[in-house]
Amino acid sequence: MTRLAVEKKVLSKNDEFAALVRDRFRERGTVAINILGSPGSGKTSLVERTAAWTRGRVPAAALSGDQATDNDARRIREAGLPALQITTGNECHLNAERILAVLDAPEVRNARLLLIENVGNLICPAAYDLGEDAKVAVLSVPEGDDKPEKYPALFQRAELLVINKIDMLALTDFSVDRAVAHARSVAPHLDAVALSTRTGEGLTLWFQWIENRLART
Amino acid sequence: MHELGVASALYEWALSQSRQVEPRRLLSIELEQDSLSGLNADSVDFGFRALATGTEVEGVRLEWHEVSPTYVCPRCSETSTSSAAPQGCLHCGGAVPRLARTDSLRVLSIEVE
Repeated sequence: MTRLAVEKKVLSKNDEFAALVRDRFRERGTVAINILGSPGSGKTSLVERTAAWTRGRVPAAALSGDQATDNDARRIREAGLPALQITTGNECHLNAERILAVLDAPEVRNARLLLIENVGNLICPAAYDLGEDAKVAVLSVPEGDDKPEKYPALFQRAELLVINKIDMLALTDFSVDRAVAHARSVAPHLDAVALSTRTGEGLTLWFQWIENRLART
Repeated sequence: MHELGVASALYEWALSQSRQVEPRRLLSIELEQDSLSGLNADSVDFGFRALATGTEVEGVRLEWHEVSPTYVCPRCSETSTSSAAPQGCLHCGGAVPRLARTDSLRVLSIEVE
């Protein structure tokens, strides 16, 4: 019997596609934000709210990943943003190959800001590089403030923690400070904003964060 | 749930390796998984075995090692491994190291007959 050294990443095929996507974004000057979080955390409503803000400011578009239906892309289009649905079937995450496949679609070709709403899941989507500039983790108040410690991989890979549904704080034991502390215990670099996509409270902080990302590229 | 995708990538790679080492037989694949990979090794094993049944890689064993994740300092680019998120860079002390973009599952070696 002989043992042969190999050194190969198992997800390297995805990494190759991600590098191609990243090159395309760089050529076009597109800033791509990969939004991750549980189903129901408010990823779609965050994109809907952002749609209104982008109007007249920055050419923007959205991609929405789900296992089935085009409900989210329809909602985002109704909010005024060009959007495409990526239906993943049995897969629990978006991958870079799926992003590459839609980059030349008229809805996204000219976007300076591309919001990618990943499939609702706190585990798998974090493992896949989509060629994005930044990952954003959305955590909502009803989920509980300890989730960052339970699912550290997602929060460690994110640049920003968005705490959504703060209009529900009074109904729960959720503490924004505790959530941020839990998140920073696993990801000390993390920026955080607390907001409500329903009432609009705190959204200006999110928009400011996007403006800073756009200014960097 | 993405274990099946990983098992499938591993299966395709195993097939290509099996053909490369012919006439010798591929016996096992040694894998290194970081503790933040979010992968369940048993599920990958199950998916791999299911895909391999009836093919030339049927019976190939997956051998797992778990390691701490790798972090990269955004300032000095030095890498380090740590089981807990580092609060500062051990090399330059100037920035908080970030989780390396990808390397959560790697093939280290193969064993052939």
